[in-house]
Amino acid sequence: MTSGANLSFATVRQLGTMLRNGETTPTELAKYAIERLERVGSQLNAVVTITPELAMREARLAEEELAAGHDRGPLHGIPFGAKDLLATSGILTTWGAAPLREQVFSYDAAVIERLRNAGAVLVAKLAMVELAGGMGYRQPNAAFTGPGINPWNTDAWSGGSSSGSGSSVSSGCVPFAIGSETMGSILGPAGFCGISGLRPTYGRVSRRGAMALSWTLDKLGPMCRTADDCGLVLEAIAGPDPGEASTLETPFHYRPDRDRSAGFRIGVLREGVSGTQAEVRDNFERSIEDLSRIATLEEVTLPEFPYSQTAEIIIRSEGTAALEPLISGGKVKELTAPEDRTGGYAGYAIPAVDYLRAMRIRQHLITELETLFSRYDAIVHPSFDMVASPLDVSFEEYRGERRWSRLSAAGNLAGLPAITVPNGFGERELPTGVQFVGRAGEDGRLLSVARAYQQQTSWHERHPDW
Amino acid sequence: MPGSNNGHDAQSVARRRAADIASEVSGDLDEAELVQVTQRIERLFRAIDELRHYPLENSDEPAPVFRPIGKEQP
Repeated sequence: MTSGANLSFATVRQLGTMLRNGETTPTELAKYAIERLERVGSQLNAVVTITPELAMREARLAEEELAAGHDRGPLHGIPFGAKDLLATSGILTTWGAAPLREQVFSYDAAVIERLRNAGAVLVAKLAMVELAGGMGYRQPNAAFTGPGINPWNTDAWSGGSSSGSGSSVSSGCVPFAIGSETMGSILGPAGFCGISGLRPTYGRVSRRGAMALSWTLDKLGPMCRTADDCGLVLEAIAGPDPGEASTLETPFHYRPDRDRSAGFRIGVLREGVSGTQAEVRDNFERSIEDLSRIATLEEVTLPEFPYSQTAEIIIRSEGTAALEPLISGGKVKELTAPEDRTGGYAGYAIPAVDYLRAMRIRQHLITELETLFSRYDAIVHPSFDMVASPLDVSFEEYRGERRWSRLSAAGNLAGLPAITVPNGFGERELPTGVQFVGRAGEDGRLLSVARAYQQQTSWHERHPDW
Repeated sequence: MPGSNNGHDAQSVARRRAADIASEVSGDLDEAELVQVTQRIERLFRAIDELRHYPLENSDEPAPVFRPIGKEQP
């Protein structure tokens, strides 16, 4: 059997090879992940529920199947964690919210079903910002499990709202996790924790059984050690779902062996880069140099639209509607963050005509962004303007006068896929990241760009000491 | 702010709207909570005002475009 250090930070692909070479077993991996979640994950406030009985049952089944030559593919026998907004039959699904800490569904989310069919082993439900941040939290302490703690510096935030998904992968508790993003909730914690996180094209992954915050913006995606692993997981969870009307009809096949590793055409978006933290800026410029070896680079600008205002009106309108029973029923008063206890009421003040105005503007920007993104394999930009904030400081205070670019709002409004990968370190020895954003539906091409970048660099091989 | 170009009026509108919401949705918001809701509404009104400056034609449909059935049949 293999040493703990090898198991903690191995990629999904490496673990798959080890499983098939007899260097480890699914039950060993599951036991190891459970022990690490109990010991490390709990210190990072990363875990809501560990599922040892289910995990060992699924691991034993995977072991029997692999021994019998029934190989379900690259995730077979691999442990994983799921953000606690994905329904799991008979297991707590709290949405990170104190008033829902006893909530149990009688069914599994589509993503959980698909990962089980792929032979993956669910070991934990992972911590998250309460209600996926839909009440407008403004500081890290916004979950009943406590603030998400960054594995690289325990005085810093993990990012949110997929807090536990980011920190548990980064700290070597699980090789991959599932997160969700409405506006930054995968790319944020993945970037802050120094891992690779993929926000797929809207509709690529079924959200059946996931908590809804904003029906027209919510996405589910993988958070892993590498872009390559993100591709392996995406293939398992993607695809049409008759039970979820927004899913794309075309299946997704991850084919890294057929993809390019150079000759890309990449747009460089420098909007806001001059205002980022110095290390973020320096690391971004170094990433551009790295990319120049595999791509033709061209400076780009975003078309002019009121992106952040459009996104805010849509999220607040849909979020208030989606979570209306909790708001009108007064349950929000039991939330952890004081600002979340009143954050849901303002959405009632948005006139229907203004929600529709935002959605009409959105159609315009989707068209314009399609024209821009169709010219590139990806557009590259820093993942964030700063590293993770200290645990005891509000986001506004840490950000100061800095104004961030509009790419996050633009990409999410248009349903574009994006991936963040680590590209260095910044202040307080915290990771920085670079993001690639692609054309809608071109998740595979985006992954090949990110994978080629990681073939040029080794930042994804660094890990915190846990 | 919606319906107003005057900052003071807009604040009053937001305060009234917050009171209406408290009355319609939740009867137990205290004065401090009402202030917080008011501030959030003011912020939303600023966003709405910016969107109202964006030119739209009568034919501009919202995204996603309405479809009478979930998927087009082959």
